[in-house]
Amino acid sequence: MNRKEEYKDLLAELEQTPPALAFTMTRVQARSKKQRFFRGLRTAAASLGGVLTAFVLLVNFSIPFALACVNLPLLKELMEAVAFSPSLKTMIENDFIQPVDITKEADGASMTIHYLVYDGTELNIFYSADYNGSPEVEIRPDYFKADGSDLGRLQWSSGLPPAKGELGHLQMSIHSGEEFPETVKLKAELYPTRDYYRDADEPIPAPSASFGEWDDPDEIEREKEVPVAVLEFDLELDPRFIKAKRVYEPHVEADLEGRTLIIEEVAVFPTGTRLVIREDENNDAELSGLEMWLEDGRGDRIGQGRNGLISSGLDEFRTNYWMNSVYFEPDDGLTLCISQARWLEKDKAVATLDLVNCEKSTLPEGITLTDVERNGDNIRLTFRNEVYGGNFLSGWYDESGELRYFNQWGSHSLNEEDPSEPPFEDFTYIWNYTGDTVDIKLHWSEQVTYEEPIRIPLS
Amino acid sequence: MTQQEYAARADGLKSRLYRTALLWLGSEAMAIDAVDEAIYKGLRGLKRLREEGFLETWLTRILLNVCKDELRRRKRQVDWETLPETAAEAFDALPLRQAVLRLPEELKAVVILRYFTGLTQEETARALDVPRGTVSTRQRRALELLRLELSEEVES
Repeated sequence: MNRKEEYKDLLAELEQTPPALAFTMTRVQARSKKQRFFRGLRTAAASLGGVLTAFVLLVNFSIPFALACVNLPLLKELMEAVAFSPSLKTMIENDFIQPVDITKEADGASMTIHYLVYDGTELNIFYSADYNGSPEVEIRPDYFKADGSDLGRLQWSSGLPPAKGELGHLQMSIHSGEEFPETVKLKAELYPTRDYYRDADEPIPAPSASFGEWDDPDEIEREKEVPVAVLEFDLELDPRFIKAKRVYEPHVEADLEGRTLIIEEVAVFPTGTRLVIREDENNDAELSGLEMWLEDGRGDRIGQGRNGLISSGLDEFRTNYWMNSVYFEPDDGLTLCISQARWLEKDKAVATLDLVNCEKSTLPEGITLTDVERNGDNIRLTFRNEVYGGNFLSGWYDESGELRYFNQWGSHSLNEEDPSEPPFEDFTYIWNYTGDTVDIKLHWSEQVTYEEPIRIPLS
Repeated sequence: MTQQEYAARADGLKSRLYRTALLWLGSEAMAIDAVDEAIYKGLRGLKRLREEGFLETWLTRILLNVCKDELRRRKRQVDWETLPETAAEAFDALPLRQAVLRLPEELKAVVILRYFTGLTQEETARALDVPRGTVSTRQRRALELLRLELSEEVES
């Protein structure tokens, strides 16, 4: 195959997008909403507009502040920066904030760290920065122990220039198995960003010495993106904030209609609440997902899905689930409520689609194959989904028996009154397949909605 | 631009952004995460977007920075290396997708945006913050290394 044929094939391959991409805006929406855990994004047949009117930015200054907090400089800018995080806002309102006010300068660049908001799992840095007087600066951080050695498994974000009236925000999370040190060394690389929004007829500035035409590529040094400055900060953390957590080890069993989950640990941090849930090895199905929330002793809902990481596997039977923080809520009578569970039954992990007689297909209850459209050896499958706004298909077995993952998925709402509710029409594609039936691997085979939420006392 | 308008337009751009991220990162899961992060960052910084017509190049710029951050974060886990530009034979021996992945960063950015995402030279220059002439030079060099003959005037 020559390169041009490879190029055409690669272009065609890239046209096929994974099922998860269809729900990008759902995930972004969930991160920016204050409450309510979305189950899926559905579009009305006519337009996206109706569903996306739920996009709301909340900056709520109505909650009374602690007296010390009211006197913080740049408070308004700080609250704008945490508008997307109910947990961070609550931490600040409860004085869980460390003023720092350290400035470092070099080579025309300056960065001031104003505040730290953190606990033993997550560090949030609020800063301002400029280069030659311009705030158009991007921060790319790296984190180390005081002696310069690695901190272990981390996740972190870089800092784009903040909007006017906001402080910049860097966030770093440490893996649940790692320890947060009392001193963190931040190495911040500063990169100026161009203003994209100059007037249309303003000429593009002449290239600097690091850019330019290559007369002879073999003789020109490869250009690298170079920061205008690298600034280092030693952040001394307050052990009281690092140690702030409440841990319950209820080891309590939850009976979900014959299947057992064990709530092994509930760790309540100021930045979030982490549940370690273990599945009983004798369950006849694997857990694929849960709809759940936390209630306090009065029965008020106090914790639900949070922005960012929602779950991560620990081992074959144990999973971490993250929810919003309930650290500043009364913890007497903490109760976990489960309203729905999705399961992959062990003997139903593979279903068979009949591509000639759709009605003979075996699928989870509430889902039917309604149309099979062939175009050469490629097939478009259409389903009617009465139960859930999410992808139920994982992969399909090709003619050689190899498992191929679905890489394209679409969905429309058929519910004109509420596009986020069923029924839905889902579709996907199978490529290079000529058979009359196809075996498919499911994400879940059964969705169970409990008439009454299953309540599990945790404390 | 209102948030609703941003959401609608970002939703329409996500496939293009995904293709860029996938070619840059080489992993479907990482590409999905990168697109999520870029669109979220765009929402947070929406007030800075004064020219609505530049939304795609603006988001592309954010996405490339997210991708670069991700690669730096996983630098110990990456099992491929960027080949030097003199390794023409090495590029030639690789499948096209792998060859793109191993291009030097500045060449990779241009070829992905121009020939797999469909941006014009002007749009690519804006997204990468370089003069248009530099885009032209880099795309020529990248196509030479990839042994790929495509028109320099390929437009979306």
